[in-house]
Amino acid sequence: MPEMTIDAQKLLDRIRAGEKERSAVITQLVNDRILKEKIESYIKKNQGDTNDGTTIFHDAIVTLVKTAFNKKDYVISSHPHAYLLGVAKNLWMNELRKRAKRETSPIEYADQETSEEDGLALTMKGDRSRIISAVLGQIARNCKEVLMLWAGGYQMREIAEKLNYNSEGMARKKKSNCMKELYKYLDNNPHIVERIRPI
Amino acid sequence: MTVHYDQIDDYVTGRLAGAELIAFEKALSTDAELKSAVDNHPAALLIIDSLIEEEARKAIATAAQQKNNIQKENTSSLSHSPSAVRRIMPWVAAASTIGAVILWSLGLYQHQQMESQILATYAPDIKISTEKGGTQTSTKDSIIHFYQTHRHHAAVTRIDQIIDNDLKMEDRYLYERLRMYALFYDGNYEEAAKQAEQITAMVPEDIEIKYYALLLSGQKAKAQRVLRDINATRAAQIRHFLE
Repeated sequence: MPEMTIDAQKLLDRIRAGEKERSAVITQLVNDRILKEKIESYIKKNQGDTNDGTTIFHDAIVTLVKTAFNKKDYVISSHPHAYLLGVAKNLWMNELRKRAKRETSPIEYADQETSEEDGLALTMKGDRSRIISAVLGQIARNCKEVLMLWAGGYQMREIAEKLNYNSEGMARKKKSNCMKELYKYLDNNPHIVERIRPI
Repeated sequence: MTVHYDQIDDYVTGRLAGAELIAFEKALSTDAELKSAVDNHPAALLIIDSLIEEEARKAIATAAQQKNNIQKENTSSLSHSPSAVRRIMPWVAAASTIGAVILWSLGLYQHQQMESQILATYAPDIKISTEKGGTQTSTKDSIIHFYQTHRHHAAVTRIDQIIDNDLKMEDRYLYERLRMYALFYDGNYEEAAKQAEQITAMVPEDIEIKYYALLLSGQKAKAQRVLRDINATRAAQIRHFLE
């Protein structure tokens, strides 16, 4: 597949443009063999394997999408490959630090309790991700779009423009109804609220 | 003063003040539903904040799955194809690599030379009967000569004389490829399109021919996408070649 030919600003604009464009950008990045090779090669040279490389490659794409979406004025001055490789390096360094901590903690008895807590936290975190994922599946598609944009810091006027609502008031009403639906769902499922409480 | 659910976020984040705050707190003390919503607000925010990541991860999973499926299909079609098709792959690779290096470094004019060089290097000479009953052993050379001297129509005619012979598939592929380019350079775009489609059906991996097939059939957008693939492939091949 092609090496990325679009510039960084276009990439960010497309991520912010809507789900369809975002999905197209993600597909392009996932299929960017040269980028994947660069990241995997770095991971392999730094104590990782191919699976680690793929995971970090995907995590770097997620990070880019989240950053672009949530920071409307964010600008990338370098080539997208350089940027994503930088993100991947940071992610991998963090991962290595976590692994080092997990490997050394059980031997150090003084830290044993902490280690068990970490293990529990990791289990809870994984559990939480699955629960959140399940809850997200319950949210209607048009609600997702409104809530995502709202969480991304977009003004109601911008949300109305992006989602083709007739007015800002309409977008506000939609967001309000979607929030009510979510509150109601959580109210009816208190066990979920308990499980996804921030650790 | 009416209390709106929209105010929950402002209330929780301390942005509600004055009369609005007083009204909200009053409603909170009597409205169980509102209180529940306020209690659930942090969990709701956590879920909403996860929306973009969830969407991105789904899109990645879908794209990765599609990529795997395509790779599997390619592998499967190759492993289940007739042995002749498997044999053709080294030729495809050779043609692509040589083509890539020459095309990348020298430009379009040399592209014509390149195709004939591929033929000269890899294709066998085909003996055909002449009208007078004799045999002509330099068919390949004559085709190359016609092609290199821009007598593309003559090249096509000569290729047509041999292409229906019982050629091995890999040899036929090289001649068919040259025939497509000869038709193209001769300005016979309609026939070139048919020829490109025929080769693409025979060897889908040949993305350069696929590019011409799409371009000549008017599918410009798809052709552009394939062209980007070609450029990336060429870049990778040249890097590999230089290493």
